[in-house]
Amino acid sequence: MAEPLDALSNDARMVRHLIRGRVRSELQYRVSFSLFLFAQMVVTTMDVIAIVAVFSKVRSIGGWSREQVLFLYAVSTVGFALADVTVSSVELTAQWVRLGTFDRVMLRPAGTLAQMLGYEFELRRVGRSVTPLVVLIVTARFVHVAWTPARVGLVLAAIVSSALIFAALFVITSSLAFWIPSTQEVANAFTYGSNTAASYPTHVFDGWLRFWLLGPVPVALCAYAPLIRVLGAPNPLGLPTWLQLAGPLCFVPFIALARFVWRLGNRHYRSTGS
Amino acid sequence: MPPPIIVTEQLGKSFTVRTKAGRFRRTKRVVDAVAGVSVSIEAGEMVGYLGPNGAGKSTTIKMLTGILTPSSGHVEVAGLVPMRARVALARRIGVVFGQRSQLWWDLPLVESFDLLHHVYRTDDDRHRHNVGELVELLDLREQLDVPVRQLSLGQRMKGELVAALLHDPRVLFLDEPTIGLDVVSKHAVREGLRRLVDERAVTVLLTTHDLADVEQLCRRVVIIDHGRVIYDGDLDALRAVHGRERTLVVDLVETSGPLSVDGAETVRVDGARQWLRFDGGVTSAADVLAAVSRQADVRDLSIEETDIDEIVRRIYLGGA
Repeated sequence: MAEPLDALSNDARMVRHLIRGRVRSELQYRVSFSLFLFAQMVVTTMDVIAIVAVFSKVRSIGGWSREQVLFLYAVSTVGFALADVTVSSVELTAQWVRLGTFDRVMLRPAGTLAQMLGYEFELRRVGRSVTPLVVLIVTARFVHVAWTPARVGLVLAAIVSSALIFAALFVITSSLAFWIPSTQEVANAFTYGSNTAASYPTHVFDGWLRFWLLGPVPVALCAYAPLIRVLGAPNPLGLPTWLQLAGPLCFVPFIALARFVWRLGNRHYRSTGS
Repeated sequence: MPPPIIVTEQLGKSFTVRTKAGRFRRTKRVVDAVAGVSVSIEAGEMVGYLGPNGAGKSTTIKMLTGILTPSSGHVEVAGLVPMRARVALARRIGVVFGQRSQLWWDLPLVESFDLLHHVYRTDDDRHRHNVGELVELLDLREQLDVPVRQLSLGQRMKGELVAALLHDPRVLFLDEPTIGLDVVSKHAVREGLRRLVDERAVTVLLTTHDLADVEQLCRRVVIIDHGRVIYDGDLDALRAVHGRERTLVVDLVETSGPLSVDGAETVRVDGARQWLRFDGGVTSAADVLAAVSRQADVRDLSIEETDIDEIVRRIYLGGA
């Protein structure tokens, strides 16, 4: 048991250094860095504007108030943004495989995924987390919740759980590149699409989408389920209490699956060119 | 005697290639990129691994370094089976791909070395010592603080060599290290390589299609074609049979019939241009040129070395 843990902490140390190197090179292009950061903030702010616009016509969505929906959006999107800044660079796998760059990580005495995330880290992606963080802090005061440590803990669990399940989704969809050359569009539907869907109360969807969010890719269990409990919000789907509390644990099998698929992909890697 | 540091036995790699056959149907075809390569290399040897494009050189290297899983046969490098022990092997080998940089493009050269120090987790003192020694050997002191993107190709390649040796590998794989370099940089890289090999007891497997790389660095060559070894032995022996021939190409002021020069053979005439093949071990280019000048006015000239494709062709014709 000590050996994989050792490898993990060694990889973590290496990644820290690689990230520092990446940030130093990124900051050599300050204008492009700031523009990208700004663009990301604008894009995420549009999501908030869309939610607010809907509430100018209706007073509640499926019984949830404007503040409650915004709070759900913020929790889910902060989680997604965490995964985006740390893990989404794994999407470059397709490119690395096509160009044969993946050779480089295979030749180093460290985990291939850890190396990739270190080599391709982009600080400018933090732009995506600014707006949802602000919304989170602001709406926390307007959702009429007495913030006990237990409730704060459950919100944090929801954020971490969202981050981990989206991270796993990034890895799983990107691993497909070891078998199929171009899968980016399908992959985006899973990752970015799931994030958008997870930003709204799941009961507003019906049919296959609701099934999808609660079953095969259960992002709704990460944030929506625990927030029913934290916010004391209406629960039209009748999710049982144990699911509201244990929902955030749904990331566990996905992390295991991500690890498995990534390793299988590595073994299947067919280096190109000379 | 210690066991060889690289051993392959009947090593093979085949790829399945799908090609279109009709609108929807596709046919599968199995291509043997490497077909039964058996080679054994002793520690400390410097071996040239030659072959025309597509001969299977890179595929072999990738199996030796643990990037590709062999389809058949057995391979062992530095006492390890590459694919099974990828991480452990990575500490014992260094790899330089001429066409792929392992340096950080936007950072000063020295920072790439520091980052590799953390990737390999080499001992601090050892790392400092190695950087100092290698940078001295390859004459890179002036370039340490220059961002990699601003280095010349030759300087960058020397940087790659340092990067590949920082963790004291036992085997160094060089894949086309002089590709794309101009004559002066090629010379500098080869000089650097030679000094490295003299100073450090490292085994080197050098892949190239440039015979000059091999001539200046290796004593032994392995030639591969269509995935099979067609020559494995002394470079001198190979050169004695096949490699000394050179061709002088002259552009004459006026067209003339084939020139006749002692020690050279006029193999081709095309208008005012003529090709004279001679044995570099017997006659010198200057002698041939002098003889040509006595017969006609020369406007321009160039000298062609025998290339690897030519040597491969002759091995098939003559046997080696």
